[in-house]
Amino acid sequence: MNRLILFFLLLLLWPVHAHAESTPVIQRIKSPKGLEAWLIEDHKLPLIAFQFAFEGGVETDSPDKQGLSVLMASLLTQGAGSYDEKAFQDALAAASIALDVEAGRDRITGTMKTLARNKDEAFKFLALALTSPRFEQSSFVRLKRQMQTLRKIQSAKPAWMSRYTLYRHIFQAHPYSQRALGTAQSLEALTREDIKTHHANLLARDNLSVAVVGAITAQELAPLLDQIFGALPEKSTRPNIPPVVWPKAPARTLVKRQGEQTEILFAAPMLPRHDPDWHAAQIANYILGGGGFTARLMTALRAHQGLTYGISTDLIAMEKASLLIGSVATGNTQVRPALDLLQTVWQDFYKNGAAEPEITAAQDFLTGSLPLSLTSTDAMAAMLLAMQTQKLGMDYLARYKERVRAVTKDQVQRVIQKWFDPQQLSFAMAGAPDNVTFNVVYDKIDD
Amino acid sequence: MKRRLLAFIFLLTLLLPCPLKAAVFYPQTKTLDNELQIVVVENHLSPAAAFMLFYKVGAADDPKGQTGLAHFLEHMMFKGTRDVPKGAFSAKIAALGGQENAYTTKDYTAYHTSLAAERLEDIFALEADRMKNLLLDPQETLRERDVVLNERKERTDNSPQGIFAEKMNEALYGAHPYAAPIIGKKQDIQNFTPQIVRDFYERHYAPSRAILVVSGAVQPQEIFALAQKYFGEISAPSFAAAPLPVWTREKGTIAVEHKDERVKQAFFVRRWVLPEIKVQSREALAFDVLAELLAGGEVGLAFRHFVLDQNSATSLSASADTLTRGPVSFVLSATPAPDHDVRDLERDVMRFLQELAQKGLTARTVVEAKQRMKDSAIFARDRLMAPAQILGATLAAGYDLSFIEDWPEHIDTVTTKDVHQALQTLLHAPYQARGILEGGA
Repeated sequence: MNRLILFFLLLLLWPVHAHAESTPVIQRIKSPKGLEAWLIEDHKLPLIAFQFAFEGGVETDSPDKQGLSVLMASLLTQGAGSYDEKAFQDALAAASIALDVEAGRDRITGTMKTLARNKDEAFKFLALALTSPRFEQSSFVRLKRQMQTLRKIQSAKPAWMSRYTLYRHIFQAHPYSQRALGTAQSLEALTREDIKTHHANLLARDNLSVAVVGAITAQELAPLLDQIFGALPEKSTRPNIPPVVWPKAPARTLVKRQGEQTEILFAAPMLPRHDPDWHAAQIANYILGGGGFTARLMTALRAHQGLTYGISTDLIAMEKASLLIGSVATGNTQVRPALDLLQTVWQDFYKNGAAEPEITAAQDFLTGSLPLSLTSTDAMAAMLLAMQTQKLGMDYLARYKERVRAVTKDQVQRVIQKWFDPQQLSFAMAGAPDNVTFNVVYDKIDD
Repeated sequence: MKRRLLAFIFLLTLLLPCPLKAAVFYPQTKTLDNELQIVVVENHLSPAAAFMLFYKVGAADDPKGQTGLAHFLEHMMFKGTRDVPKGAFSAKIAALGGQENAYTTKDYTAYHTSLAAERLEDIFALEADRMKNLLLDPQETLRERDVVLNERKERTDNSPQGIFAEKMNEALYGAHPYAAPIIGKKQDIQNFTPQIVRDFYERHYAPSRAILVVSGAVQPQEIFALAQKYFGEISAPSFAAAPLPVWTREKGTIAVEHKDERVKQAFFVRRWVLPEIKVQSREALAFDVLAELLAGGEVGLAFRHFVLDQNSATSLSASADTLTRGPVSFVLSATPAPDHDVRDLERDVMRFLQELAQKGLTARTVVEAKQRMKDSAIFARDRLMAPAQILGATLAAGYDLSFIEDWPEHIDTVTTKDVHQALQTLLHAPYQARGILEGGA
């Protein structure tokens, strides 16, 4: 073949193949004032996804001020600078800018999505929201009332009932057991002064992570960081939250709820995210309950017995605790057989461990599905943000496959022996199950 | 020769990223001899692809007394073929790092797999295989009935909101097939036999009733070639879908007041069916604009009035269903703020709509609502599966691809008068259901 033609054909083919083989290029940006952001520059779509996190979330609410972080975060987008709440929302809507700030357990996170053509406005309003929110009385009262309503809607759902009681048992007096939306009393008692103080304490430059993906260059982004976050205080003021100490004995709790079905949640302690065995735990979880229709629990309870529409397990890594958590729902008369089968499958896994082909299949999935976690600018930004807040390192994506592949069978067995003991499982149910005994039974949960 | 090729390549690279007019997804399409339609949307943001196979059969096609059959068949499609035994389908896709599932709507059934684009070919083989070779083992059929009954409990029987939604649907649609729950009635699910499922499968699953949509880091010509290779030989007999029955419900607003002591927060829903509105028309799209104008984001007129100004509602939403085989419909719902009565709120919201219709709409609010809608079309491209979902749903509902591609232009043609007319239509619409879900026995 003619060399020149070959050259051009290669040129055409090259970007596609290179892309398929590698992970996106991450740039570390430093602003003139020293603020940092991680950036994936990509101009395929005329969009920018901008995400950020401030360490310290719902966990920082004191017991008598539950609901504070959620309320403060929601109020940031209800008017700022010279814009009252309507003017602020009008301006965002007119430019199709989506801006949300939420309080999670460990941190306040924000997501902004904008068309590249409106980026100047988007960054202006983001800066205003974070550095000069108005916290107006009318918005304050309105959002409080909205949270009261949300609490009622939430607390009537069986999935929430089981999660709330499970966390109450596991976390006990730890702040993780608190209600993000507050209690009826704590919400009522919150003042605007509380909101302002919390804002000043939590939003600072020393607990900030920033992730940006889309049609923006490093040169554009660096000075913007100072415009957006530069006016925040240098240091945050946060309470020191201790690690969770798990209760000595697992529990079995029930919230009574009439209906045909019982919602079952179960959990055990899990190793922390930075543990070198984390990927081995991911593999073990995938085999037992995380792997969708191929997982052992799903196969046994759904495919072989028709006992449920679904059962799954997952690993949750929070700052102060890690959980192996799972859920299943089944008819009240099927709860006993479902629990027995779950116990049998789990015990067998604990006793005999995972087989080599299962481990390989788990590795195939975990490595092969990496592209699926990066399919939009939002998803990529969320990944960049998680890599920073969970301290996974800049090379996390690039090295992910080799790390998962490097896990050995011995490592998986060791993790199963240590962390997958069925005796460690606590259960929390909501419903009216037949033939099951409990340590604690709640007739109802407060709104 | 050399030079001309070079020029040609340059021309191509100039043309590719530079479309002539602003459309939405820029799909490419081809139809095989056996009438399978293929649609490809390129999106090279990540090296992944979404593969979706739509069958133009949904819950509205369930035979009488067999509600839930289309959905039940969707479940059975994962239960094995001669060559790919039970469980092997999911295991193969998992080994490829893919994620698969399916869903059934009133109008169609969709199977979807997302995975690394370079591994796409295996999915063609698996989907083509189960289009013609489904086993439908008797034992598996019986067991799957239990799974679906459990699914029904989870979604409906154990949920006051689920039960309420079923009642509202019945009240709204009467004898029309859209009245029946997609998942099916309990007694119908209990009576499914392998033969019932097989008849339905053979009647409806064929290339001529299917649409294959691939979205992601792919080249259209490669996808067309793979489709020809794996689906080209399938020539199962094809039946045209029976048209949906004509609208026969009696005129009137039917009330559904459902009490359930498990409910702690009341809300109301108002639903309209508009059989006289022509689908795909400007007057139909006016209802989409109306929904955005009333309740879009935090700036919709009704949202503003009740949530921000009056503080009598904590939420208010509205939407139109204009992408449908059957009649166009509209829904509005709101949750009262603490210390506000749900019936007072319902009355006030309806009164607000009446006053708005009398006062008229300003051109500015209509223009702003339309701008938000057009911008949303750009954001829709920033998703892997959404383009495939939207285009597949469009074709499955019997619309042309241009309905989506020209959507921003169509939205632009909707006038203030059209939106005002849509509001008037709602206020005088003969087919409505009003519902309240609240606590107490």
